[in-house]
Amino acid sequence: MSEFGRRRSVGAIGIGTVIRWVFAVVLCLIALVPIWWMFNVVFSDAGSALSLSPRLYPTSLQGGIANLSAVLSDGLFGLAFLNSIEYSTTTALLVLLFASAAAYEFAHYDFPCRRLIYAVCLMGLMLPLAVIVIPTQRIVASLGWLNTLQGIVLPSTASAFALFFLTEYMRSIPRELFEAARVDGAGHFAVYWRIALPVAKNGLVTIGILIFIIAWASYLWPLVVATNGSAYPISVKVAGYFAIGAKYPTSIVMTAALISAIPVIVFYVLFNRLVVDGVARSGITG
Amino acid sequence: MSVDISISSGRARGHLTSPLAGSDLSSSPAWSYALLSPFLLVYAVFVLLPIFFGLALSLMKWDGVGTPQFIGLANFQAIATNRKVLAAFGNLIYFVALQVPIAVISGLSLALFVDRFSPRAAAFIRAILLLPFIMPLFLTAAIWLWMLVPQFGLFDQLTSVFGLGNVEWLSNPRYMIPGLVIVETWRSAGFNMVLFYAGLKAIPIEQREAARIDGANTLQEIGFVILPQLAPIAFIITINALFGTFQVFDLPWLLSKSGFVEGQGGAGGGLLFPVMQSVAAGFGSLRFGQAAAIGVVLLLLIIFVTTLMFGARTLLRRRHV
Repeated sequence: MSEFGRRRSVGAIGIGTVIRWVFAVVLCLIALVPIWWMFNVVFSDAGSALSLSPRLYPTSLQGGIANLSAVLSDGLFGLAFLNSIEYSTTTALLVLLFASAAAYEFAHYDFPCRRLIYAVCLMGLMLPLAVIVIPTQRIVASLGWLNTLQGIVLPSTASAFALFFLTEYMRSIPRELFEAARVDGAGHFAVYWRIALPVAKNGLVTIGILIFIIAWASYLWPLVVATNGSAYPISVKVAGYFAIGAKYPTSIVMTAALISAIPVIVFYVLFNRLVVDGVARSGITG
Repeated sequence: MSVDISISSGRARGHLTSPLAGSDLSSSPAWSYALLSPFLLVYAVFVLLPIFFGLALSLMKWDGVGTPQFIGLANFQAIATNRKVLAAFGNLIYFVALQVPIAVISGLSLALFVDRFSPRAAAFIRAILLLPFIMPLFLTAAIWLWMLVPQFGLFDQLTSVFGLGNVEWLSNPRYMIPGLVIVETWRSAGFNMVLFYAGLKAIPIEQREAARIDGANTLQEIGFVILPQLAPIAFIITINALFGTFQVFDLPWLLSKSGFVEGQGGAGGGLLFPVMQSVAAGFGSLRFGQAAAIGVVLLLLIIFVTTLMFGARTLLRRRHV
């Protein structure tokens, strides 16, 4: 009886585990199949009708190469890709610079109005930025900054999310570290630059990657500020491939989309732990 | 973008009041202001100034070039009688009512499910389920435009197994918002799961073990230990989801192939939302006053709903005490 009971419970665990894993695989497939489908559409023969096959696997390497070279031979696509590298990298670096300096102050120094200033800055977390896109665009236009790097990048560099995240991170650095440096003669700025920044490296990398990913996907803001085709970021360029009136075959649209995903996928694979932890501690949405 | 409001500011406040007495870090405030100034400057110019400018603009008539004219509340009267604006807010309420509960429930159940795996397996599953959220929205739109094509789209073919099939997800106004919910849920379920999972892991393991030792089964452990402890994070996730859905733009704009001048929201304006209508009123029709007014109404709506949520939470807490 006890023998039977034990075997039965082992069997029950086995079945439960199997069901659990089957369910997990189904969930993962739901997440992956649309992206996998895009890949398969790119790597298929040109002209094969999309409707006749659900594209569950890639069918033609040559077709894929032809699609890739067709998209890459459009000079404006390459330009938009490079523009986005420039915009996203600049955004990430400026956010890191601005927010880390502010975070260092909020975390370790006392000065008049500190709590008030911090509260006002965190208020930005609660502001729906899409609501102020019209006035912000008019301000940028009146500065003569349409289609410029500073016009596209600067408005998104006051990241309240980065400030909050880095202030928490800076707080976890023991103050004794800074005090020792001061005793050794380092000034206020030197402590920030030579001690705080290197010690906060992991936090900075996490924020840098998240901001890069957000900036890479950014669509509404560049849509209203980059009015000139040569200033387009990748998001506006790729959206143009499937806008109303555009007559590109699906394979070309998907090829453009696939190329545009490469930096994001590379970051996600290389820094997976950091990205997932960063997302878990935040709430990043478009 | 939006983050935990209550906990973050609460914790932050607690920290910021901690005394600095006895610290060797005393330094002239001028240094502090100097290092704060880059952040504060861009924040003032590109966040605070636009809020006040937007409020002022909503009371003016302006084509974006000439001198703005003060016209009082005329913009608000105009949008209150504009059928497209009303339709956009109607769509928004429908979308929020459908999407927010789905976001919370799917995130919570996925987190409880992933929690049943070993830490390594859970990390692997989480990484895959978060991938759709990491994908740029314009790319998600490109993929799902074809996934949702009736009869031939992969999604439509797969769901035909369940007797759905041949639904005009993106061209029949009746099904366009449910179609958007499908895409948005595919995208954000993993994100909400990651947030819930972090909350789950913050529950002291002793409490869960104690429930087990007392003979609680999985359902009892979830009902009596996990869910009550997750209530605060569920509240934050709800607020977060509300903020995201209220400002929805990229997906409906791209899925409906909208443009500034015409065609916003696709067939029958089935995917027309306030931010889209605001952007079109501004850059399409050059009515920047009306565009700002739509933004102000949306902002007030968000503030109203958020206040309602916080009020409800306070009431519930009081009853439990």
